[in-house]
Amino acid sequence: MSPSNPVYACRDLFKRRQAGTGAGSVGFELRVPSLRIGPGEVVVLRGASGSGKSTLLDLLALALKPDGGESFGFRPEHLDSTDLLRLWERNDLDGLGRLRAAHIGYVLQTGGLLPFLSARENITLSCRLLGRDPGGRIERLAERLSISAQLDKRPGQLSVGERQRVAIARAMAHRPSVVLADEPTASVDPVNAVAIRELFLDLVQRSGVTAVIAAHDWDPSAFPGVQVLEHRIERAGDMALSLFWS
Amino acid sequence: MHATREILRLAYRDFAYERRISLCYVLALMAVLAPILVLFGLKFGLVDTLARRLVESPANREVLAVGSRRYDDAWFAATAARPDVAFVVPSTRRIAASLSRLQNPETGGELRAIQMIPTAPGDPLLGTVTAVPQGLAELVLSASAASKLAVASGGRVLARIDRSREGRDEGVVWELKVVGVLGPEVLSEEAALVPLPLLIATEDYRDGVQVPALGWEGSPPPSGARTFARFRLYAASIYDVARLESDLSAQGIEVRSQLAEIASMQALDRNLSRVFWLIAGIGTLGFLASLAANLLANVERKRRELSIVRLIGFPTGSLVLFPVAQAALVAVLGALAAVLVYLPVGSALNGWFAESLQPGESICRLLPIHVVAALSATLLGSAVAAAWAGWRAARIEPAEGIRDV
Repeated sequence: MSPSNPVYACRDLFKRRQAGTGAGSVGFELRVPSLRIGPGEVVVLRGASGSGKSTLLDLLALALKPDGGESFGFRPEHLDSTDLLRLWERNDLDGLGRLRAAHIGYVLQTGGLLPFLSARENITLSCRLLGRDPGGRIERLAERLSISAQLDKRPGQLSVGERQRVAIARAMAHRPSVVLADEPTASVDPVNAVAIRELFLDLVQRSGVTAVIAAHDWDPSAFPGVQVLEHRIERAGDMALSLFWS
Repeated sequence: MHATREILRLAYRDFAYERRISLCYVLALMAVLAPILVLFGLKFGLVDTLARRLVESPANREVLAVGSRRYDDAWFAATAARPDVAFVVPSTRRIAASLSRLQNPETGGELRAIQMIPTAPGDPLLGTVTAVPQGLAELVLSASAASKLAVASGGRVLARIDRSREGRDEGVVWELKVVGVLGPEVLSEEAALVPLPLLIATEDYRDGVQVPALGWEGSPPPSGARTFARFRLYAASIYDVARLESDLSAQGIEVRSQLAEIASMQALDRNLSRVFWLIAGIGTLGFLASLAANLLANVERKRRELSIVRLIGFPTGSLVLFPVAQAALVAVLGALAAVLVYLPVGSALNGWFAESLQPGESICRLLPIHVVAALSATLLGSAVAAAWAGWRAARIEPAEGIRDV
């Protein structure tokens, strides 16, 4: 847990996007002046919709190409630091994919489950890709998330809340170093949202995994041991500049 | 490799999960491929049969002399040496080239004034299956002659020729062996194909000349080289008929051939082929376009799933393999369905036209190699279209496509 060996370490990373279309369009730039996330840390991204939380998560998930930066290192457990900027520069999508498959779990806002597989098959997909035997882990996760009875159903037969629980199980089933979550409870009814939020944080903290969670409505003071990333939006002419840093 | 095995499983699961849409793709492919198969079947059956009949039919290649002349051995040698002549054999005067009577002694069936046609090895009428009669005691019968006599190949018949010599009517009867019977399509009239020596012997007998080999009496043969009044001549192919006819005319020989019919049949054959290739070209283009459009649309539709698969960490190869595997399933099932449609249609067509076909001919015919070629072309086309679409989908960053749900 030495702060000198962070899972993520980046300086002056940025990604530009065109927000909206037509005459009223404004440029948008996500900028990360400095970010260090250590092993086992649980970090929450706050900020209004459109503030670039998802963009930052996609960058951390190795799923979106940054437009530039000074450094962007990724150092999962038991591995040397990888220079992500170099991988992106070479457009090594397969190399990035291998890192993603082995070390990252991603919970999307809308589940992102494959509709033609059962919940159980969705959860075990990462393990199967890696050739790992999940053993009894799927059942334990399902029990913990109260979806044991839903394992053999397809996503289309599940409620939104159940789908998010399956998505959480899928993100954690292959024991990744990092779990990323993009508004995991935003599309769930409030009662369920609280329950899922608590379950998710409990799972994350018990397993010691590093987690970055985008959640505009979470009150971090209610969750001890959770850090919040500093965030500010600046306007510069036509550009909206969104800054995140630690 | 885990990724390859997994993606093939995912491709199949998705294909099965969306079985209704998958079935639509399979049926769409069948609907465009089946008519093309029938069309190609007709091309290889009908069009090629007609063309072969036209080109190979002995009747179209025959050049007939009108009237009688005197052709000597030198003329026959020179004519036979021409590369555009497939077969030439001397023939006697028309009046001498017939048997007075031909009788089957077992059944009593008989024919009168039956025409004799000289033959020799290489005679197009004999083809490759019928034996060539030899010597003075063998012959081949046309189908109608054999059926009137109720005789088959290997049977024996009695022949009789008559002459009038020094005011007396004479006749000789001798036994002949039937060594073959022509197919009904080769020669419709009643005729006997005989070796040239036999024809010469009967001409001599009628002229009152002795034929010691058969014990026929008469005057000694006249001195001097023998000449023949007529000939049987076949061009090597129908394309040689025109030149042959003009060369013979230049020698002062008046000839007749099927030249006009050949020209019109060649035009018909050429136009039929054009029509066929036009339809086949449009159909094949349409088939490939519809196949590619369906597969590209399928990949567009699968973009979200492909993005998820990418996000989980599958490599580029897997993203290409996913649509390719599904396209291969569509191609194989669609092509099999098209063959299942083709088979009954083909046999129905052949059934309707059975009466106007000769053995070994068919109106609608595809060889196994054609079916394999159609299947391979479909598979290859599908794989290329799907691989291209999959590769395009794999080029996008994983983050694209996962939010638009």
